[in-house]
Amino acid sequence: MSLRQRLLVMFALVVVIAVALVAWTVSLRTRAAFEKIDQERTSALVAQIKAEFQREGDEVGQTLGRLATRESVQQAAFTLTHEGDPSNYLQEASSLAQEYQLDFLEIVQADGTIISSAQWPARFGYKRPMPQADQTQAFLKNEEVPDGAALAMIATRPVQGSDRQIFVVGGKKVDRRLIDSLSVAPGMYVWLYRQTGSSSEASEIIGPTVAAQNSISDLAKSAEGGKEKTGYIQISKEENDRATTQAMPLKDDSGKVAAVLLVGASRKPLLDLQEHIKAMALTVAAIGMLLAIGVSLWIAARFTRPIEQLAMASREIADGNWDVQVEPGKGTELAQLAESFNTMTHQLIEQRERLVQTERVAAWRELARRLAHELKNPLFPLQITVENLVRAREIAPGEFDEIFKESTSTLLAEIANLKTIIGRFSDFSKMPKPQLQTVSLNELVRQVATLHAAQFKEDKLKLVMQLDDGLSKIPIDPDLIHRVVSNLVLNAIDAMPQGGTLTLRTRDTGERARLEITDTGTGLTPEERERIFTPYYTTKQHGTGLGLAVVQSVVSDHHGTINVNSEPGRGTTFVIDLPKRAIEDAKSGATA
Amino acid sequence: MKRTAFQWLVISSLLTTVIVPAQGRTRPRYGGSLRVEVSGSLWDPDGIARRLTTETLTHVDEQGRVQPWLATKWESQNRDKRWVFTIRPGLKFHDGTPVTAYAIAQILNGCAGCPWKTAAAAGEDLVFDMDTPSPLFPAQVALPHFGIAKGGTGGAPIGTGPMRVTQSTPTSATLTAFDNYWNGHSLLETVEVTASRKLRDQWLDLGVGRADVAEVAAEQVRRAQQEHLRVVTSRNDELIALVMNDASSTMQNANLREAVAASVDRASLLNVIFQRQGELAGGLLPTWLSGYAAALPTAQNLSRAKELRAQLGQPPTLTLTYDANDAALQLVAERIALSAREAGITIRTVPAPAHWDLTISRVRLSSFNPSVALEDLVSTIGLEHRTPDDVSTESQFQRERELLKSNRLVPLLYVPHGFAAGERVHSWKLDEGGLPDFDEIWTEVRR
Repeated sequence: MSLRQRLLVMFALVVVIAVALVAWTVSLRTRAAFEKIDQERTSALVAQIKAEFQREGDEVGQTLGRLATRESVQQAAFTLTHEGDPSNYLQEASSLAQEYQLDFLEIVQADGTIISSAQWPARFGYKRPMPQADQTQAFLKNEEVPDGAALAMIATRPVQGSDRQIFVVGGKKVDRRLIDSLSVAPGMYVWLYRQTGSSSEASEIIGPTVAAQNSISDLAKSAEGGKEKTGYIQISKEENDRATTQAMPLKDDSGKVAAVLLVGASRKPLLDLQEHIKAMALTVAAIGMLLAIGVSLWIAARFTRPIEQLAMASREIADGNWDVQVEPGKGTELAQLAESFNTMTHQLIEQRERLVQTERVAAWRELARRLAHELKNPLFPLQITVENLVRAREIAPGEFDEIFKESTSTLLAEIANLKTIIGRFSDFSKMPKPQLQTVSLNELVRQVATLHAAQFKEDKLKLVMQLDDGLSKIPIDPDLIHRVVSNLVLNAIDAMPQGGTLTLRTRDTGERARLEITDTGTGLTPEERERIFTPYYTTKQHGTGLGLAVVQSVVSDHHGTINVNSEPGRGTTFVIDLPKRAIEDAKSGATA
Repeated sequence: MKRTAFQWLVISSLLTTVIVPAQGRTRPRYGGSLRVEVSGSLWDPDGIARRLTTETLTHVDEQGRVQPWLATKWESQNRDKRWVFTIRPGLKFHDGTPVTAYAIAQILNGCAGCPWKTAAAAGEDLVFDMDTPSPLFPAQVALPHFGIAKGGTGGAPIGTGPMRVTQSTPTSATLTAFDNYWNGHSLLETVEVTASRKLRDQWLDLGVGRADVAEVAAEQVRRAQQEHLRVVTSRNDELIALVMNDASSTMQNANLREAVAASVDRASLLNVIFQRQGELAGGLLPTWLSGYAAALPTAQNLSRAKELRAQLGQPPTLTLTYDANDAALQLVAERIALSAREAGITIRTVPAPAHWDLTISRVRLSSFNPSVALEDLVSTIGLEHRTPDDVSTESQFQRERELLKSNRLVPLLYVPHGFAAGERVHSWKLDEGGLPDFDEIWTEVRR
């Protein structure tokens, strides 16, 4: 990952983490605040409902109290307890209920036998469960009616007869009227749930209709065990429109759950706000990311680009292009670094030029020394011969012709020797530039091996070929490289006079093609290794000493490298690395 | 001391002044008007308005004997497949047209569900032909729904009765004494009948003098008496029965029908709802008509009902309908549902009209002839009836048992019906048919 990408990722992470942290904290605090408010509102509404129930119960109790003291009722009580005919009072409860605006009223014997019933007139003679003797407060009850059961606020009052009591049991329906009378704040919901029959499906829900009506039943049923439960009710199809709902069981006088009161507080404002916070956080994060990209781009422009330029320039220098310069920029440490880099390259170029010049001078000096040494050899005999001729003419004129004849042949031989030395030097100086062709190195090596096969056999040498079949064709001058390989093979043969193994190996190293020529000869000393590519340097009795110099020159013209690995007694390996792709020569414009 | 003639004259004058008015107050007077309120429809065949305006060919008395009415005599031919009635001469319809055999044949022909195939005039005779023998045909033609009347405007009949329609609306009619009535002028000059009036409203009108005669349902008789109304009641001539729907697939189950029938608590219906006005009905005819009704079981058999219910598996909820305008029938229906619930059968009660498995019906007896009354009752309820036959009591009993065996028809109670009259009404009583006796009733003339 580049510096620019790392910077971008780092800035983006910082922005995202910061925004996420803030959003999460705000969301948590908001939720806590909303839940507190909802709890308070729920408690207030529950208190209001309980107060309303209490008021309704008190009203029912008072109504029944007035009814029980009514003269006609007391007269009826007296008659009924005095062996009166109950059938006379069949319609009495209906009339009284209508008059006192009660939804339920029954006149009942002390043992619970119904004398008259307003809500179910046909139920005369049947028994109803009577509340506890000390039950003076009104209570909730599921009163049986012909259609099933109805939730009612019921009170009981005794009416004294002649020697015993009868009872009036009456009350009012707890229905939508009661729920509608409550002041319910916006966002709050009240439902009343009760079972209307023996089947679990027979139920009634009083209150606003919602999308998931079944969820009200389910929550209420869970509270029918007698304990409060909390759950969620989906109000509308909109996902956020839910209410946190408390289900509170309402018990009758026998302790059985008569109905379940559900009070809900809408979570919509909280959920909407949380969504809003989330959306804001995402927006801020997105803007932050864009800013991060912008900042990273700006930083890249100010910092990473110069660094990348420096890195690129360094790679160019490694590739040999020492002439590269870096844009210094202004005023920053990187600008100083760029200037220092440019200064370094200038110095390197100068030093290289000086080195090249020095090496050139040294090479010329060496060449001149070697040439002088080579030339001196044949020149001395020439001088002696000419001096002999002069002495012979002076001292022995009669032997002059014979001495002249011997001397001239010596002179001609040494002059031929000089011509040879100068001819080879001339050849060395006229090494042609490579003419590149895409050629299989393996095939070329096989040709050289075939060429020298007879000599291998004669000299009892073993040839090992380890050629990489995956090595593709490379751009080389086949003639020059053939000469190189041939030279090195001949040197290896000369290094193994007693026989041995010659190994020819090719390998694809990725960027380059490698050729290794290994012999098991006597090896080279460190001094010999240093000087082996110097012109006219030789370890052999015969030879001009230019062979390896030519090899190095050809390899260098191909933009390759040649190295020698050797130790005395352990053989020698020449390693040639040639580029697999043509490299354009910047100075000459030629491609190698 | 001897009284002088003058003194005797004064004394006798004084006595005459006191005695004669007293006797005048109890002597019926012609020309009064009567305001009657009823809860049923105005031209109900069993109703007052119809009874005053329409007459039948014959009349069956309390002993079950067929008496001449519009027809003076009749003769059976072709083994009771043909009956020839001689029409009373000199009769006139309320519109003045003569009552002839031909006119009556016009009225009676085309009658749906009638027991004759054809009715034709033959001089002064009216000839009925039928496919099956009808030995009790003369008693059958005495049924109120075979009254002889032409159709008038707004459904008001043009009959031959003691009263004729002089004004009518859909719910009320003013009847005026028919001067040419063959059986004597009515004591009353006018009778105003207001129909479709709730019982409670009738009583209120009676109380404030807006009505002279109001109905009193059987279950209200005791209360009416307690409120010091002048109540007269009929015999127990109205059957209250539980009818099971023959077309309901649920009610095809014989065990279910028997279970429902066995669960009924007639005693509570009679003693409480109808305030002991009436009698338990084990049969379709009341005891006073059949003589054997007491032999038929009436007691609730809850154990039998539970036993049958246990064999039923999971019966569906049954629907029991009742007349929404009849509070007593609603109570009866709810009580039956409660009793069935004790046996484990669920019945829900709804007011008619609605889809029904069971229904409560009130049917009034229409004849003093047991066979005619029974078959007419069965026909009215909608069950398969037969041609009434002059059979023995034993056969009649078997016929009833056969009708009751399937439990499609469960008789519950026989109750009376009553009327209450205001102070203006004198000679207040009901006739043998259970309606106010308009031959005797008279009212004070309003000044």
